[in-house]
Amino acid sequence: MTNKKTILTAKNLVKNYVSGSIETKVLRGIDLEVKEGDFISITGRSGSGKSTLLYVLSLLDKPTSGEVLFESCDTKTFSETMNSFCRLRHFGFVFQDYALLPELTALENTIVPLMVSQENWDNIEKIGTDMLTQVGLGDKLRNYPSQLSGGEKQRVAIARAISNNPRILFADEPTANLDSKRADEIIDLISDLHKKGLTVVLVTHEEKYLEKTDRKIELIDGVIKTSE
Amino acid sequence: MTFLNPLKIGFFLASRQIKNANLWVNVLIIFIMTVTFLNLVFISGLLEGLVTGASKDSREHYSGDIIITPDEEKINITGTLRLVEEINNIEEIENYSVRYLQGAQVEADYSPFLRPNIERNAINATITGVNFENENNTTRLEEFIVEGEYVYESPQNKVLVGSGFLEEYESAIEGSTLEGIEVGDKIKITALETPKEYIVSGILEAKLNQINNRIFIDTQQFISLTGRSVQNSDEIAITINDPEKINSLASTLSKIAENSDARAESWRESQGQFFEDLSVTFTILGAVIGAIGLAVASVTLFIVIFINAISREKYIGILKGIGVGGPIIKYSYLFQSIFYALIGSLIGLFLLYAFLVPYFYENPIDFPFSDGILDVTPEGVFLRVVILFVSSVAAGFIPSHLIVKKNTIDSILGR
Repeated sequence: MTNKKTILTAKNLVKNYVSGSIETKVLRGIDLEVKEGDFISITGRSGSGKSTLLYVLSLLDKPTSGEVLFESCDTKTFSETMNSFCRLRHFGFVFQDYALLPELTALENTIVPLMVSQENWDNIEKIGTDMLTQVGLGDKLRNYPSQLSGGEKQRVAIARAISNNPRILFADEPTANLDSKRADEIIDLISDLHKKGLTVVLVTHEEKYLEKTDRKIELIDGVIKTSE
Repeated sequence: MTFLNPLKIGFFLASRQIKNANLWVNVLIIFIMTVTFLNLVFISGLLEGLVTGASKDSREHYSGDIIITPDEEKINITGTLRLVEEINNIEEIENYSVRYLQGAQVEADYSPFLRPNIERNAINATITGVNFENENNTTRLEEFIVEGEYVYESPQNKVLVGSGFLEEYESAIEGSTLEGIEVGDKIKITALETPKEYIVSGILEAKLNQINNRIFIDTQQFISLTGRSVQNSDEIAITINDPEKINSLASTLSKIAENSDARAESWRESQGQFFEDLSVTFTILGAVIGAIGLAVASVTLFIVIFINAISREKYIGILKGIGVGGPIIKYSYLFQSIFYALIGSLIGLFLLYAFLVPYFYENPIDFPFSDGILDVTPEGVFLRVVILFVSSVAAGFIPSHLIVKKNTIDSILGR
């Protein structure tokens, strides 16, 4: 067994939402480690806190208490710029509803993170084209999101998420809006990326996809019930 | 990332948003910017134009480029003939007109057979003795004949009557008008004891009191009527062939005029503080009206961009989520504002110089005291373009700043 490097560590994560006088406890003390090469699935019922856990781990949201350590650095000390830099260079995120920018073509959506991260733009169109070809959309580079099917949109979102060669790919129920055939294709794609070495944290409620992952975490009411 | 990259990405995002935005929203915003620009330039330009028009009229039709008048506490310009001789020797002087002024009683319908037992149709008026040919060469007085004809040959017993003395004209002086005067009628002018009879050759109407409120007669007739010496004049209006030399010639003429108890002033000096005060007042008024228009447009642009930013809050959140920094997103909104301000200003400039300025030059607005032209200067227009840009940038920056500083995931999820 190889000694895998820990990329992300969550310690006693608590996340509460306050609406008026009502406080909702969504995460109640989560401890978790994400190691290099992991393919982790997070499952649970609706409202169990799985998406919230993903947002906090990916630095899209801040925990109410507890720590998220990125390569041993406490992210609480990170400025918004630093958070932004981490999301750009180290994390890729695939949203449930694709979250593509409607006024940009598939290629433009894919290269936006590259435009920010790369000083020299000479090769970014080629990189974007390669990414889209890798996800099977080499012939739809100039299509706008409105001209793509749901599965194709999610492929563009995946291409965008991996364009900067991230350390971890976070995917929040990427198959929720797709029919089963397209959903299977997306999971296969993510699985292929994992096989090529990408660390993946996948939130899903589909039991059939759990077998593709190598760590399974089930959340119940904001607490990890099982982790195997 | 180089210093320019955030700007380039902001520009890229802005260009895509504008390109894919609803056409009518783009048209509406550009229309607002164009109207705001025109409002800024037009109102102040028109108000300035009123003063400029009045000042121009006074220069062209009364004072000339330089005017010689008696010194303070002196009644007349003395030694007029010697002064005129000196004027004739200055080659830059194009034309001049010597004027003699005196109050007199003017009476119409004075035949006892015509108006028995009726109140006399008489007024007190300023009689102005001129050489009609010189006066016309200097101030183009003939242009203001609205009835009858100019007096071409001197000396004659013909007079030109300003419309201020005729009740049927808008410029009539209340309580000081003659009834029923027409071209060809005889009027009686009494300056000394002996009255003299003159024929009304023409009626003058201008937007200058110095024309409307005077009765012009030939100099020889004036001298004969008033007994004034030809040496004692009241005004000498002068035009010169090189406008650059107005001040230096005014100074030269002042020295010459000292011996005649008189002083020479440039047209600007002769108009005194009044026009300057009026100009400042109208400039302030134009600035206030323009500022209100600018505020309304800024708020409108702010609302439009704010609604645009709110409706795109999710996408702003996505951009932040994938690692695009807040400054880049703000730049994209700034570039959009700059684009709208630029296109609005360019269309405004085109409308201004292609249509409005030429139109108002050809068709000045008929104000009571001047012809309102559109007085716009390149510096003034440039300043207003800058003002519009600055306010647009502020109107674009504030809403984008408000949205960008929101929590990323809240923006994405619309919470």
